[in-house]
Parts: sequence; C-alpha cells; structure tokens
Amino acid sequence: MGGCPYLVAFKGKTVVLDACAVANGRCYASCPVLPCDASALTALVFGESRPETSIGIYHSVLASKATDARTSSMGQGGGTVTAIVAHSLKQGLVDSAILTSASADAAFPGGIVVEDVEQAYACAGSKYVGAHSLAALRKALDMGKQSIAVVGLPCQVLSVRKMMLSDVKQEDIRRRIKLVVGLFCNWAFSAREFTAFLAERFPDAAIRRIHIPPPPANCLEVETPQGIIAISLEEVRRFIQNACGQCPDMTSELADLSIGMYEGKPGWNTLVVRSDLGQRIINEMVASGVLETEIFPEANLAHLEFASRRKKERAPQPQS
Amino acid sequence: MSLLSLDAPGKEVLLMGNEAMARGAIEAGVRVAAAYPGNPSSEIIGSLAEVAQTLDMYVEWSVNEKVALEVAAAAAASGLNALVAMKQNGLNVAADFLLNLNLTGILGGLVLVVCDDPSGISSTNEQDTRIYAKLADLPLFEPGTFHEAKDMIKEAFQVSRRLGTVCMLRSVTRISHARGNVTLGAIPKDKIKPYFDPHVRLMALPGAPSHIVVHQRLKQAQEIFESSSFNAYDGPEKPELLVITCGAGYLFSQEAISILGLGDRVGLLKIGTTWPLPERMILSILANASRVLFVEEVDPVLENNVKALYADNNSRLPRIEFLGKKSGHVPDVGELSPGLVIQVLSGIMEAPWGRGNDERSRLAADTLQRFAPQRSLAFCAGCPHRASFWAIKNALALDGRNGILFGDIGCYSLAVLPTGFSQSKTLHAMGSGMGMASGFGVLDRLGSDQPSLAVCGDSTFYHAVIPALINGVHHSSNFLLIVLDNSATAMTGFQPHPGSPVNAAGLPAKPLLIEDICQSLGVKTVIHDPFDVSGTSLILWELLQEKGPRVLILRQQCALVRGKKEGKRFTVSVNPDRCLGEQCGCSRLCTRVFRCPGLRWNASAGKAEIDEAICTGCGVCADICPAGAIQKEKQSS
Repeated sequence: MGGCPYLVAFKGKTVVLDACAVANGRCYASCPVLPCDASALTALVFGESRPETSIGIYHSVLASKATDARTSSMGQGGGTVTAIVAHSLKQGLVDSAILTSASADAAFPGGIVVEDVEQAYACAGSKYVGAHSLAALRKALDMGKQSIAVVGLPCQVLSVRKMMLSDVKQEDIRRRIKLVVGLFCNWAFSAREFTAFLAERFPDAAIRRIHIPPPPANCLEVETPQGIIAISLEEVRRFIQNACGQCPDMTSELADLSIGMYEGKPGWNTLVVRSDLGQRIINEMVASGVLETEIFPEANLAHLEFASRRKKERAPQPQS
Repeated sequence: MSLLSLDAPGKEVLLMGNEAMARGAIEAGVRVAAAYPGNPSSEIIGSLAEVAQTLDMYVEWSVNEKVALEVAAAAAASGLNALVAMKQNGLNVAADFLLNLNLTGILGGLVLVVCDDPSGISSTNEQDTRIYAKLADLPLFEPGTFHEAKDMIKEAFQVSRRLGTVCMLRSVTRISHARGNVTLGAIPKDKIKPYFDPHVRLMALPGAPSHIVVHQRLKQAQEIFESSSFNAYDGPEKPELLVITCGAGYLFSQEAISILGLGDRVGLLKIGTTWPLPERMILSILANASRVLFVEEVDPVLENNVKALYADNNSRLPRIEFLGKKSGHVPDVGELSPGLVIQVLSGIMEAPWGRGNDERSRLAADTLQRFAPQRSLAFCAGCPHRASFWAIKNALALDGRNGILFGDIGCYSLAVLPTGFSQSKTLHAMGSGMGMASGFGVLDRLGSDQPSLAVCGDSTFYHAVIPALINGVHHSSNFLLIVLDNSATAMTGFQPHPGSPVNAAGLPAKPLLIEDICQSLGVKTVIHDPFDVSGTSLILWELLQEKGPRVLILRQQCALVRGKKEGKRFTVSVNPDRCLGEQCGCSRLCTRVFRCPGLRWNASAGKAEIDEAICTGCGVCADICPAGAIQKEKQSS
C-alpha cells in the first residue's frame, strides 16, 4: 500500500480514494484474499514438499517463553515474539524489523521499522486490531534495508510471501525479507470502530493495556488506572473486521515461526517451528539461553488443530 | 462611448440582442433596472450598468430575481419606467411576487424580460416561460429580430404605462446572444422625479375583483395587439402551407422558405405579441389556409392557443390540418435551427434540399467523430472547484459512511460530472442543495448514519442558501455546508454580489461577508484555501466527525480572475525522469482522474506533460502526483 494514491491507510481503515485502472498491480499481487499458487508459496518457504497438517507445515510445536523477565513480562504470553525479534537484531540476522507500534498514530496502531532492540521492546504486546503494519515494509525497502524481519498476522504473512513471490518492482524482496514471524489470529477488530467504542466506554480513563485471555474466559480485559475491567466478547464482536471472515488461516501457516497464546499455561506461548530457518533460530536462542521451551502436550496440539480446522471451515472455500 | 448611450437617431449599429433590448429600455426612458445574473439574460442589465451614471439611471445586481422584480416594482410604483431581467429559472423565483403584482397593477411602466434557454445550454433545465404570461394574465411580446427586440421593449413600456400592468418580453438564446443591425432611436431627455402617491394602495385584496380588472386589461391589450406591426403576414394570398411562428423561429422559417425556394407556395405569419393573441388578425389569415405548421421554441404554446382560437371559430373557417409539435413534425424539446426547419419544410412540401446528400452527411459525421477530441464539460484549468471537489471526494472516502453531497447552481454544478469527480448527487434549483442537506441532516433521528453535506457558491449563498441555512440551524440539523467562494458570480460573467465591495455600476458598496453571516447564526465556520488539498481533506474529515450545523468556506479566486490579476502563481513542469508513466503504478492519476485541462498525456513518450498554453499555474497537480514528478516553482513577481 505504501505510496499508492488509490489505496491509503487512514485512521485504522484502508480507504479506496479512486478507481485504479491497473489490472494486476502490486495490491493485486499481494492481496491475501485473492487466489494464489499455493504450491509455489509452499516451495518458497519450505523448499521440498512436506506433509501438511491442519495447522500447516511444521517441524515441531513447542511451549516457549523468553527467559529474560523483562521480555516475558512486556510481551503477550511468554514474550516469545519479542525475544525472537530482539535475538535476530542482536545477532545481525536482520538489520530491521517491521512491527506494529501502538503509537504509530495518536489513536491507531500502525507499522514501524525498528532497527534496535529497545525499539522492538516498545512494540511488545498484542493490539487485537487490524493495522497497516506492512506500509512500513515499503518504507524499509525504500530505506535500503537488506535483511528485514516481518512480524504479522496470518493475512499479513500471506501478503508478504506473495510479495516475495511476485516482486513486481523487482527489488530483490525474496532475498531482503529474511525472516517472517507469524502470529496466531482468529480475528481482529476494526481499529476505527473499536477505538471509538473504547473512547466512548472509558472517556476519562487512560487505557494501559488490552488483553483477551484464552477460553473459557470469553471476555476482553481493559487495564485502566482504576483496575482491570472485563467486557464480554459478545459485546465487541460487532467490531470484528469483515475480512476476517474470509481468512482460513489461524496460525500463520506460511511463517518461519508462528506464535500464539498457550491456553491454560499463563506466561507461556505456543510456538510452531515451521521452516529450517525458524528451526535454526530457535535452536540458537535455546542454546544461548534466551528462550526456554517445553514439550507441547498432545491434548493441547489436538485442540489447536481443532481450532485451526474450525477457522478453515468457517472461511469461504477457495475458487480454484 | 458605448453604443447604448449614443444619441444618434437613425444610425444603424450592430448590437447583440440583449444590448438591443437594453437600448430599447433607454429609448423608453428607463430609470431603474435590476436583475440577478443568469444566462442568456445577463448582458441586458450588464450593459445598462455600464451607462447608468452617464444616463442617470439606477441599475443593480439584486440578491435574487424576486428581489430584482420587487426593486423594479417599487420604481414603477413611483411612476418611473423600470426594467427587470432574468433567465427562465429566475422567473420561478420571482413568480410569487409576480402572481400578486399582476393583480395590484402598477403606476409607471414595468417590463419583465425573461430569456429562455432552449436546450438548457447554460441551464439545468429547459423551460418555456410563456406559460407564466397566460398564468398571470400579462401581455407578452416575443421579438423575432434584433431591431424588433429594441422596439418591442419601447412598445412594451408604452402598453405597460397605458394599461397599468407589467408587460412580459420573452427572448431566447439565439435572439439574446446573436447580433444584428439595429437602427437607433432618440433618447428622451425628460426625467420624471420618483414619487409614490401615499393615497394609492397596491394590494390585491379582495382577489376576485382584482382578477376581473386584470382580465379587462388583457382585453385592452388584445385590442392594441390587433393592429400591432409586430404581427405580420408575408406570402401568397392562398398558401399551400401557412407557417405560424414567433421568436427565433421567425428568422429560421424565413431562411428555410428562401433556401427551399418556397416563397410562392408557403406563407409566413409572424406573431410578435403572443399573449393575448391578436385574434381577428390571425383569423383573417387562417381563412385562406388549409395546412398550418407551427415553428416555435420550446413548448407548443402558440400552437395550442391558435388551435383553441380555431376551435372557437371553426364554423366560419375552412377545414385546416395543423402540423407542429403535437403532430410530431417539429421536435417538442430543444432549440430549433435553420437546418432543422429546412428539414421539416422540405419533408412537408416534398421540396428537395440540395444538402440532403445522405452519403456526404454520413461521411461528414464519421470524420467528425474520428477527429473531434473526446471531451466532456469540465472545470477550467486551475479552477479552485476542481481542488475543492478533490478534497471533498477524499474526505468522504476517508470518512467511509457514504456521505451525500447535495449540489447547487453555478460552475460547480459540474461536480455531478467526472470533472468534479461526480461528487454532487443532486442538482436542482438555487439554494436547493442546502435545503436538502437541512432535511437529510435530520434523518439521523430516524436511523440514518450518512453524513449530510451541501455545496454552494458565494453568489448562490446570498441568493437562496441563507433561508435554508437558517432552517437547518433552527432545527438542529446535522450538516456541513461547503461554500466555494471564488469571489465572483463566475458562471454568468463576474457580476458583483452582496459580498463584493462594488455594485453593478462599479461604485463602492458594503460587502457582507459570508463568514460574518454564518457566525451571526451561531454556526461553526472554518475558512480554508482549497489549493491546500490534503489540508482541506483533513479539515473536511474533522468537520464530518462533528454534529450540528457547520460551514466550511473554501476561498480561492476564480482561475479566470486570478489569471487576469496575478498571472501564473507557479511555473509547473513534469520531470520526465521521475514520471514513470504506465510503469509508475499511479495509473495516470493526473490525466485520468484529476484531469485538469492543463495536463495532457503524451502517448508516444508515455509520460504526462504540462500544456503551457492552458496551465494557469495553480500548482495543485504537483501535490496530487504520488511520484513527485510534477514540480512547481514559484513565479517571481
């Protein structure tokens, strides 16, 4: 989207300003909703063909948490995502990372190019809203970044992989995007409507953090100076983005590493190690003591697969 | 010296029809003239304003047509000769007063000139105002030539004074805006002092007796018209076809009969006083007719009235076949033309027409289609309206609630078309945009969540928007009124309006600022320069998030005025290295969507470029280009 005069990001929405006449432009090539060559994408990320499961292709599923107390306390769950980004930056695996910053706009989260660990820490924590994070990828490419990490939702991960495949502007994107970290996502709120709702519900309170605890809580926790206030998820479901209903991917199946919450084990994450690169990074992190992993119980895996299948079943079936 | 004030009786001069009417008013001793500008009528008062001081007249551009008629009526009530002019839509605005003034009558002389715009060339509608003469029982004149236009005004003033009634004169575009020879008459030297006799009461109560008096006046007018030289027959004693015509149809018919060589077979009856009809005169001509063709613009007014006259007298007349709009021989919409009348006559009379070579006509049409550039109506290069509607388009898209923009009358009416990015969703009468926005802005109480917006120009604001704005404020409607203030009544020729520091005669006048008026109503009022398109979009978006009545004045001079006064603000150029054309991904935003005529697409180079001859240097396109390829450099003053 970056630089396009027809599609612009504004106050948490993607807005079509005019009708573009380019038949197969960059937006078309990278749109996660439009059909794509799935086998080409799989080959791009995983090389040789591997058996696919209901949570995609992977080497292993683990429980994980950052060993550093600061990291694990700042992030969501066990702070695994923040730890991976920090490790990659520190080790020089990447020169920058595309993250979602809560303060990119006065009211709406947005993409940001981070170049050091402190900047990455500032982005820690789930946002629960759709954000124009990948606009920052355009910025990083224009800045000349050569090894970029991208952290995104499943739709954003798919979009990045499609960009790598098409490389419409021939910017050597396939080489320059080094690492793709995906997040688990069932749906996200529309930023504009959800922000307006929060502003109306908490007119005087400074909201510190928002958290959706794993089932069976079925609520949204809003942390304010006055304490944590729970709002039923049923009350806020109306703010879920329409496009989320189109998405079959809960676990970012095309990421190198996918991370989500660990239901029933607070302070830990579920980590899906997918690509060889992802495996290498996790091995390095465990070896250097920045990440702690445990076996992910079969029952939890079965539940994760069940939830992932449900999302696939809810989404419209692909046309071809 | 202006030809209008030239005191040279007998001298033949070339005048536009509207100037000829103005000169007729001068020769009739007009002392007061008022109008609201509107094509094709604007030059009547415009040219009188130029000589107002020389000839000791009072001339004004009134705030609207109703007030113009009221101003003229006050002068007529004071014994003066007064002229009021307007276009067809204007008479609708003035109609309420007119339909009372007809009953009260007047004391001096009052001539109401209405210039109709067949085909709606510079109007939103097509309307035949002659119906109003019948509705109001007023004598009606229709000039067929330019000299006649001048003389008819004089005659209309005489009839008006003699009968104590308003007289209407209906012109059409091809009479008002074409030019022809006019022989000047004398300019009266005597000046009547205005005096409203306090013993006189101009009121229509009780209505019915007043109506009787009006009908009596109409009878008197008919008697006068029976011997009027404006009604004339030319042709054989017993024509095979009698053409009955009026207005521009007269010269078209004369030309058609001449070109087809039908002078000894076709008779031409020109009626200059079309209401009330000179019945005896017409019946005497009908007595020798067997087929009649009506040639008139736009509605079959003369046709219906003559047919009704025939029906009343058919026992004394031969059987006549009537041809015209009702029979389908003449189009019942749009302008006529000599070519069209030739076609009609040629068909009816089976008279071959030399130019009727179908193959040649087809070839000519094909050639035209191939070489004529594809153009639609568009804002001028550098027009601030284009920038304003670009910002409105973007703000409505950013808002995302399908806000509705109610349009209004002026250059910016074009915003219903692609040149204004099709942003205006309605187009009716002056002030109607704000009125509809006032109404749409209360529908949130019934569940609507679409923002309500109206757009109007500065002159339209004074003309008819103010009452609608007051209505919206009083009823706590939620709307955003966008006033496109280009400091001119641009569409009709830059006449001053109540916001101008000068009056029609160029003398100092008190300007009433739009922002002062809005703020006096307690309305939040923001002023911004539309050439700052991104800033304007954001301001618009922010205003859209608010409730209640809001006004945004987008103030930037009309490109034509700015060009005359200041020249180009920027030198604009396209950097060919940065313009990537089709490779850019911008999908030719500048020449495909923004579409200022100052930009053109060089297909062979595959790049956009500036048309130096047309670009006015506003610099807005430089802010639109996403690649920064369009560059602007400030002109040194």
